[in-house]
Amino acid sequence: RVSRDTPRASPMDEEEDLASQLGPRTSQVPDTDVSRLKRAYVNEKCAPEILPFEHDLMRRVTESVDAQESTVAASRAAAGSGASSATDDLTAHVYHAELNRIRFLMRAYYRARLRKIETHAVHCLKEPDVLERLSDLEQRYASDYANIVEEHFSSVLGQMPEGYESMVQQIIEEDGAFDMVPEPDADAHVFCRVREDRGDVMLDPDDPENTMDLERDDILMIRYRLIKKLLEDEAVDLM
Amino acid sequence: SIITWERYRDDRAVVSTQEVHFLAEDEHLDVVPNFSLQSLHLLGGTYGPFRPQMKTSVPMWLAMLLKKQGKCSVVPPRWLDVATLKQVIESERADDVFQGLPHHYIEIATDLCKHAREDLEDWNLTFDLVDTIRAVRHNKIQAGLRSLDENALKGVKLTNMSAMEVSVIRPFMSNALDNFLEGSITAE
Repeated sequence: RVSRDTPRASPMDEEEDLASQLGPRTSQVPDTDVSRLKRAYVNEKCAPEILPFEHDLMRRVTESVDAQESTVAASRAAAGSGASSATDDLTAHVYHAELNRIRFLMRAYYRARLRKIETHAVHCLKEPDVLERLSDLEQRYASDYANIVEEHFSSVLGQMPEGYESMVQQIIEEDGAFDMVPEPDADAHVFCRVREDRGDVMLDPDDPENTMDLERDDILMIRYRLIKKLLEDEAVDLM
Repeated sequence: SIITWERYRDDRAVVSTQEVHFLAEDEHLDVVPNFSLQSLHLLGGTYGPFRPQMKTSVPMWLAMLLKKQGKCSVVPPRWLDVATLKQVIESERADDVFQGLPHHYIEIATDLCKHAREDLEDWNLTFDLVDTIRAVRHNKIQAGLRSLDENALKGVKLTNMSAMEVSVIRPFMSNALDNFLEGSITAE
């Protein structure tokens, strides 16, 4: 391919050689419930607002984990008091290790959500489109938590001058704004990774001329608000 | 401009270094087993068959588990060799752009230099080279941070940034840009 007259290696060739030596940015990720759980967890951890609860995914993962645990326990029991081979021990060790990883992801997912529910408990209860993103248990949790916090604050708020005792309004007024309720900040900056080629995308409706060319594996640092729709469409993942 | 770290950040919201490493452990590595096993049917995928001297691909967490049990040797990825790493350092120093290293290059190099030393040609040198790459890139990131202006509010592409690097700069960049935003809104 390289003729005698061609210089040995141009800077361009070296660059290409290096790029091919470095290989792909990531391994191919199989689309399994485990990989979806991992993405759901990381997205939840990084998003400033609470995302819709993954009912079906969590149900399936819980079932898979329970089934796997039973299988492993059963085969351990079947091996019984007789000598189990080294390979059996290794296999059990590997299954156990993977189950630990998955259980960690599940707990981390629930914990990431609970943290946000606690921070924005009243907001969750107040906004129906936010409340519906919570699971039934989480909705109960939000309600219980808000009540406990209110009870806690009332010991101080009760001492405030009349009109200033509310937890949700600075000054109690009819039709007044709930200006003491913390809300998630949709303009917080997040990092996200593009999952598929999207070409030129208009991200900000207030600035329609400004488009970004989005290619798979691109990493953006950007206001959450501008990529929220892409996240919902699974075109990007947060990181 | 003076950047003030006024915005409250919940520490539980932070993705720790250990978590970034945990997330990297699903990257695939080739291993050469010294045992036989038809297959491993895990929830995340099926791996094997495992045959002595037959290379097979597994996630890094499994590669490290097998390695620690003395059940395999690890095949270092193509990019994790001294010559390539030296080339990367040269390129990183020469350009403003970032080289296309694997997204989890730091985590992969760390694990291999820790648990699979005898499978690397020179683990000490390898680790030093990777750390040099990390440092050179970190300086470039800092320089990039300093050069941000309000155009950054439209979104910034961080071409070829790695997972660990994103995690390290996250608190600084997010804070800086959130404050930019606040400043620009006040200025209107």
